[in-house]
Amino acid sequence: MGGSQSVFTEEELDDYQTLTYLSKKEILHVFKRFKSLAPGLVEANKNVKLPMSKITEMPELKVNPFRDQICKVFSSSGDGMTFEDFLDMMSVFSDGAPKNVKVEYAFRVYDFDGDDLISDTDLQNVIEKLTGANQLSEADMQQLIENIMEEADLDDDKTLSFAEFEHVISKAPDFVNSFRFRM
Amino acid sequence: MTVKNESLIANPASIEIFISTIESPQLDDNDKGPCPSSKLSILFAGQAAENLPISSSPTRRARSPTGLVRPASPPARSVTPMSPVASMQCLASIEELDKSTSQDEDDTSDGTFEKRERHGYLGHTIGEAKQSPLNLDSSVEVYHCKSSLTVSSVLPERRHSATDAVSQDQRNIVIGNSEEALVYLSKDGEPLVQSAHEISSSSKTADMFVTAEDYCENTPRVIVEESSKSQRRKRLVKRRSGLRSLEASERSSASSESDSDIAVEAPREEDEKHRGSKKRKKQEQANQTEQNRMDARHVLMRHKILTQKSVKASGIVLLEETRRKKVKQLSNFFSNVAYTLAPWGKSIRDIEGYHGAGVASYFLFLRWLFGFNILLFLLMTAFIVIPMSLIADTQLTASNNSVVKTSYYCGLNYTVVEQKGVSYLLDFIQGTGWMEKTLAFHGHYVSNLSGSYNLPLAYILTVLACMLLSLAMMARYTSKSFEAALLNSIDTNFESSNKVFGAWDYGLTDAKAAQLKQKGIHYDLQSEMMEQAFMRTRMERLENKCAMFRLYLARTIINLFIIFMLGAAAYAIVKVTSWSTSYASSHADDSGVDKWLLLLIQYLPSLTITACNALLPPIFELVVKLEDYSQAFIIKITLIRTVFLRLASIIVLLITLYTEITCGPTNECRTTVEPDCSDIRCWESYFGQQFYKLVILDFVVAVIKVFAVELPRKVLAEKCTCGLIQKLGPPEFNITSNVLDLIYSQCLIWLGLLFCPLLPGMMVVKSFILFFVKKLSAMVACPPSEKPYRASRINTFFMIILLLTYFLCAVPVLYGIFGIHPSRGCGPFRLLDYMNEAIENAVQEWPLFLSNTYDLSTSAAFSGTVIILLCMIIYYLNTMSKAHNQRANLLKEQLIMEGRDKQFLLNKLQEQEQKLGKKNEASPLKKVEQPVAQASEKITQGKQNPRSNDPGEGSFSPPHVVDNPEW
Repeated sequence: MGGSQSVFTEEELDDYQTLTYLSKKEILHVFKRFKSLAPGLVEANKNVKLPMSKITEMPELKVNPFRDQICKVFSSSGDGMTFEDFLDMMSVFSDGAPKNVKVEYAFRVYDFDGDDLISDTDLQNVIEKLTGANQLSEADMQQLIENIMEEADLDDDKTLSFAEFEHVISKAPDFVNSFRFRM
Repeated sequence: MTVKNESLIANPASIEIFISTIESPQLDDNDKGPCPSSKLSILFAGQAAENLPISSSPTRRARSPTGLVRPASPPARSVTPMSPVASMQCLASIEELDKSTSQDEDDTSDGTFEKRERHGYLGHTIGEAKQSPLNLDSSVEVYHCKSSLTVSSVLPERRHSATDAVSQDQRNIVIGNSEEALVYLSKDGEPLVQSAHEISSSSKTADMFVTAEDYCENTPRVIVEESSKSQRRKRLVKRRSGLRSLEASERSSASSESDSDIAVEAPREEDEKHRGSKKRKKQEQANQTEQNRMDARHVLMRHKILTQKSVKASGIVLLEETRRKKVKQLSNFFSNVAYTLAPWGKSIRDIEGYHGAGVASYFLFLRWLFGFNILLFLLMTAFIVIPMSLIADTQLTASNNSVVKTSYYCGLNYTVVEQKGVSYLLDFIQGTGWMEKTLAFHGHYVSNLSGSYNLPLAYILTVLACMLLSLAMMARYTSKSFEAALLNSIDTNFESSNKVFGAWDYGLTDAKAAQLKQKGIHYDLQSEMMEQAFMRTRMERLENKCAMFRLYLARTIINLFIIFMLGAAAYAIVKVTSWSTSYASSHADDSGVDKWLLLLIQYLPSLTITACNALLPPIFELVVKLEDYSQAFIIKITLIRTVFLRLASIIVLLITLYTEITCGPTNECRTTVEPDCSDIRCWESYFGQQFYKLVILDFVVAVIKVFAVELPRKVLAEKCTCGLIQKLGPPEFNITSNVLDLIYSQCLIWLGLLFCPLLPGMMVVKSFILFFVKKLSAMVACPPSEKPYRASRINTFFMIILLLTYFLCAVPVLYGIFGIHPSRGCGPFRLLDYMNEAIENAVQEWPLFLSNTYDLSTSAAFSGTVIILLCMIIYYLNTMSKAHNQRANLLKEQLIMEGRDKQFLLNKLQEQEQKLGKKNEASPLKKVEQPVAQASEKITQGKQNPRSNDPGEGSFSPPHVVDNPEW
């Protein structure tokens, strides 16, 4: 870490540590990863805003079917990510982040049209992204969406609100195990 | 009145009206500027305030994805210049608020989520701070009450100034509370404001912050130019606070989303056709409400941070503050240390990237065991092994004390044959010969009751401490997931959602693994669909009595078959163990017997157990297919059977050993005199040897399995094209059996701890090597599995198994301590009748009071009391949990009811609109059952149609670009 140690002052690190769910070592590690996305740019200016195309080079995101959504959710400006955006993202995806934080971001990631509701179109989108090349048959897809709605949609409005999503996630323990990056 | 109308007019963004305090409801008649805003935000800054801070909320703010405020670009902002007094008041009120919420607002000391929960969301607090917000949206604005019931204030007619809004007759304001009757207010300005105020003051809405926020934002560009540091803090604070406030706003918006859907938006570009715009509108509106709520919090927080130095904390508050910071720093420090110390981080990351979280959890568990055994090893070494090696030369001598004398002669009787050459190595593997006379085994330890260091006492206390520590560490390690598991177990009707929302493993980094994962998810979802179909067809099939009978017959037969196999395995273990012990003891000194054969025979019990563990589970997996269970149940029942086999084999081994050592009458050295029984001179060491061998064998098998089975299979599957091998395919990293292996090895350590103090050390070495071997297996031999692995579902099982295993291990160890006479000729307890006498003897030397207390606490009377007390606690907790369940159900019902209320209100609203029926005849009457989404759509359209015909609309400023990248 010696190299990146000098990038931040002790004070900055303290702040970052206080404001994220990461320890200092992890923050430096995050910075290292950030730097590895575009070594030249970041070395020149550590607060540089990397374009989305660079960010999605990150191994975890590269293979993630929701990468565009994740970038959209965490980017403060919509067209790229600064180190702080990146840190923010890594903090949410870290082991230390509490479940409710993760749930909130997951909700945003799965909410493709951004209307703060997970509708059946969103669900279809999610499932399509999840299954990748092999798609479910139309009947199966509808059945599956119907199942989910039946389980989760408590007020019968054919969409999942955040409260409903949170409720269903609390019953889906796999979520916390999977919604994280290894530091 | 402090509102500057020019600013309102100049401001293209928003504001329609503003209203003054309750005492003096003044309405600014001049404010009839073309106000495109959908939002009317009115802030009553306390009853006492003379100069009312009034501001509008910026209507269209880019919704930052993180839910954080981005400063809006100037044209989009609703800048309402404040008089200095007003802004002062704003700040004052905020400061007041800060004080009231100082505990959780202080972000620099990291108010955690939970803390925040205590206060509910901020709106609550504000309400208490005598702020009464009234936010009159152009059509609907939703207030979120403390009770999380929805109050909607509806202004059906939008695009009017406040004055109009209040004075015009047809403006009905519906303020609905889902639990109470609907309140229709209005017609008249004053009652409206008053009642609205009343209600809004009771409904602690977070919207108030919007206004407060704007205040701060509008005041001299937020007080000062901050240093880069405070900017940074600010930004990040915003981030985290965003998370939190999101919760609050989500909660309110969750119940109100459909309301805000209808809340008709600010005018859109006229040329934009209404059909396509619904969605965006909805989104915008939702964004805005939420954004505003969040913005407010951020500003409060920012303000707090900016003025932090001037905030005076004193007394207990200060003390608390410093203490909290210290604790935080300390925990940060420890997490830093832990991060540095935890080995193999990168390896685990790689594995997770390749295989996903399930396999990684195996390696995490392995690492945890590694660390845990280091701890046990250090304890055992520090308190037993090192003291023993220091006092090793103090041997017992013949003395007058009869017990000591007997022990001395028995000790002379207890000899081992020390051999050289190959046997030297063989002895090492078997723990016999020279090995038996080392610090590794119980028998070698001496009883120096007279010395300065009471070894027997230290020995027994350390072992007990290790067992307790194990329990504590396990509880700590598993409690979190256990909680989650218990939570999950309440109802499991969320299969589909879990499969979809928890499906993607965000830690994956390998492209191929990701592809496989997608394939796996597809497979999983499809198989779930098929499973449902299967269940349906099976139900139909089982209508037929004959088919049902056949199925149950098959199941019974298979269960009998499995019980038979378990019985056979147990029988084999019993037979082999007793035969091997008697053979070995009768041929121990016989140099004629082939050493290697002897080794094999010595190892036969361990081999039998291992063979059973290796061979039977595949058979279980085969036969279960005949039983026609559902897929999920197949996994469970196979796991249960496998676990049963593992535990049963250990139990059988223990029972066999126990019968061996208690076989027949004993002499004064406490060794058997019965010629039929095997001659065991020192049963403690004998026990230790068994576990020593099992540990070694377990390790060897694990390594061999990787190098002799998995790697060749992988190579064959790649190179060979012949049918059978292709069908077999490359090996699969079976998490279940691998974790069971680990639990099994830990079980051996617990059992052997008392008799072989260095076992934890062996386990440390073993798990260290095993990590790399298994990594090789995972990264090279086994391709990522296509079958998705549900970490959580199996984790519950693992935890139960781990605890069960611990219990199973603790019972024999405790029985050994309290129930069996130690050998006279060996071990630290050779002079005692029972091992626990070491403690009792020590207690006798304590002051009378303490020893009496000890006696009392171990007496039957005391334990009876404790048992009764425990029963009462269990009863209490049981009642509590029932109550909690009920409460959870109630809350769930409430959630459903709320949804219905929402629809009901919407319908009311619709009717209201129909009554008004002024410009929206086109809007069809909605049925009660009609979904909310449709309702909102219709309302939206109903609102828009007339607007587009209204020439006055042209004066509206164009809407702001929502996703302005500058923000």
